Amino acid sequence: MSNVEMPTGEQILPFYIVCDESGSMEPIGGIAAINQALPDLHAEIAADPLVSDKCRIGLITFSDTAEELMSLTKLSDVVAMPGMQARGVTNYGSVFDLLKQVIVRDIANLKSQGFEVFRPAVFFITDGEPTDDPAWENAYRSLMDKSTFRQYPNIIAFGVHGANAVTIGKIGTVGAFIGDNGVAPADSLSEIMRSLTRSIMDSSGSSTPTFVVPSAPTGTTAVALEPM
Amino acid sequence: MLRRKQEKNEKAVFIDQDELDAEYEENLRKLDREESKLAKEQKKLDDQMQQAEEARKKQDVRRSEFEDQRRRFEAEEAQRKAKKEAEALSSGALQQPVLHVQQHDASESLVDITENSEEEQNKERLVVPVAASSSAASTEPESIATETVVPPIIGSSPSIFFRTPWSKTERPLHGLSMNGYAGDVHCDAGTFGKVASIGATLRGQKHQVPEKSSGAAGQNEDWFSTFCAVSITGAKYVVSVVCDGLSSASYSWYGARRTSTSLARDVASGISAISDVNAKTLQSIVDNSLEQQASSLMSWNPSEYGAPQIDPSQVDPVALGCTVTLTVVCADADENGTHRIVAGNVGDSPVFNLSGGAWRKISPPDVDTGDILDTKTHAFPRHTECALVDDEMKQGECVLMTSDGVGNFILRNGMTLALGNYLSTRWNAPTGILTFLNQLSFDLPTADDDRTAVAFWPA
Repeated sequence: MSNVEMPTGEQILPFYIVCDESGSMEPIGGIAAINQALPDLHAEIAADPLVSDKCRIGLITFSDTAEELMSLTKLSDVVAMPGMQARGVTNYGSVFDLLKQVIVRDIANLKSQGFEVFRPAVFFITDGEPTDDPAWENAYRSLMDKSTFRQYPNIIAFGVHGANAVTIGKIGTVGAFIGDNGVAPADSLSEIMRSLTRSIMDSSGSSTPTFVVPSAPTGTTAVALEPM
Repeated sequence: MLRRKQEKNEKAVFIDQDELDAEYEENLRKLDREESKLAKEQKKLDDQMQQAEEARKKQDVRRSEFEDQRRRFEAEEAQRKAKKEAEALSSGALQQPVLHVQQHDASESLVDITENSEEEQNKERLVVPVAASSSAASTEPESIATETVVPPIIGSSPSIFFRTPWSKTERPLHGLSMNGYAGDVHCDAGTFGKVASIGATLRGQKHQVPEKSSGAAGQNEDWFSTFCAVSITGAKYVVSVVCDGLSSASYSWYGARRTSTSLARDVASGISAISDVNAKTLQSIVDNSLEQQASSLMSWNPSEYGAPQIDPSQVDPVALGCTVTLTVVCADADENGTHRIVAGNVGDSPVFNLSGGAWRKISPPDVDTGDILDTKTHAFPRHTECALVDDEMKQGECVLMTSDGVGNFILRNGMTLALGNYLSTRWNAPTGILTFLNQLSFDLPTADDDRTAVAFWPA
């Protein structure tokens, strides 16, 4: 058997950027801020060979339903990032359901290619309260149940505008941040995108990859984690 | 003025004309208001439609740009490939030496420089692209170093580090360390009694890439020390300690160098005072040494050789954190040609036995983390427990200590990985020192950590 046919044990850190694209994200400039930041994230990560080799990025959006806008990908293989578009309401449950399916599929896929996979990391960004409250909590619990789902992700949650600090604290498992009053939500979102880019760079850049939780992005404040 | 108002089939009644006018006016105003409201709603809807249409157009433009870029990229790729093939053909026609790697032939050296004869072309081989190709026609001296010896490619394709000369200064990948002690290569090799050993540590790619802010790179955070020891009875032993500094610890490079040297020296010294050397008799020597080092670790003089340029009182001991792996090999074989060994760890840097092409992990035991990799490890000085085990090395076998920058790619949960497969036919017997260094420089994406390997063979 040649070396090329055997598993190499290359180590991969999967990151999922999960963005709210409900109708309310448009008037606050949220969609524009994220669409502007995604190409910067792409350029920075794709330009670093060590980081690019080690991390894979997926982009998932949610409103009435959840959608996998970009499946887990090596960013140096991507020519341009897809854009988001405002629509519908803020249904959290659909995205947690989709995340679980996608994580199971992606880890199996990476392992079949001979990769070793670190625990997935999720950046969850929203501008509002869930419109499917409290039904979303069941989907969230199913995703995060360590006894039945060993591939559960680490989550950093970011909330701006109409998001509630308590809900954001419930979703984040390793970090939770809420936009400050008096700061334009679009500005907070731009900072959040910069912060998560830095987190991906630092996490993948370490010789022993570890999920690096950023400090509070400018225009946001850390909130207490409230495990469900 | 009164007007007669008569509804059909009803009696005629008289109503006030002014009242009728006022009612009419009021209805008119009400209609105007409703019309205005409707117009506003219509405008809002139109605006939303327009925004949606603009967004759709933007998406279309972006999609179209994406497709264009993809087409351009594919065309350029095809062009580059064709050019490379043409160059390869051209150099072959000139009968110039071609550097190639034979991936499958275990009996021969990995890297050969051969004449590109027709017979050679028929052999299965991988032509290695050399990034800075020197043109035969050019009279300009090369300002960028090219390698004439290349490391083995373990991944499916060469990494950017393989393709980029180390001396390239535009977007450099191999920087000097701001604080010295880069530790690119450190190697100790030799024999003692009936044992041969080569140990080497190489600075990983992660610590070679310069930081954007300073332009300087990091240091090798692994280290190893190998000492010789003789017991009271005159039996000979080789003692080696591998330490892997935690990437999260600021001065782990110093912790690794100091701890590996101190522990190997203490164990060698301890062996000189005992007659029977095994896991049980060595345990107290190792425990005492680690305890003593943990308590004295935070005392150094910033001006002394190799010490961090900072007062130790300002540093948290965790900043010197490193894993510790110890192996003691009896240099004298028993009547069957078997060498007794003792091994132990603080943390996850493994010790393997290679026998008949198969790898076996001697220590530490595997921890089942399911599908997911776990980055947590015990480290000195927070942990000083180092449980020792007895094992042995027979004729034709190899005992190998590694940091996880190597060990992670040899064996995983009992499964041999591509690097393990490659090394199983190279390190099954003593190999050349430079060959060992070259093989330890294997090219594999994501294997960017510092690398340390210490191998022992019956001589």
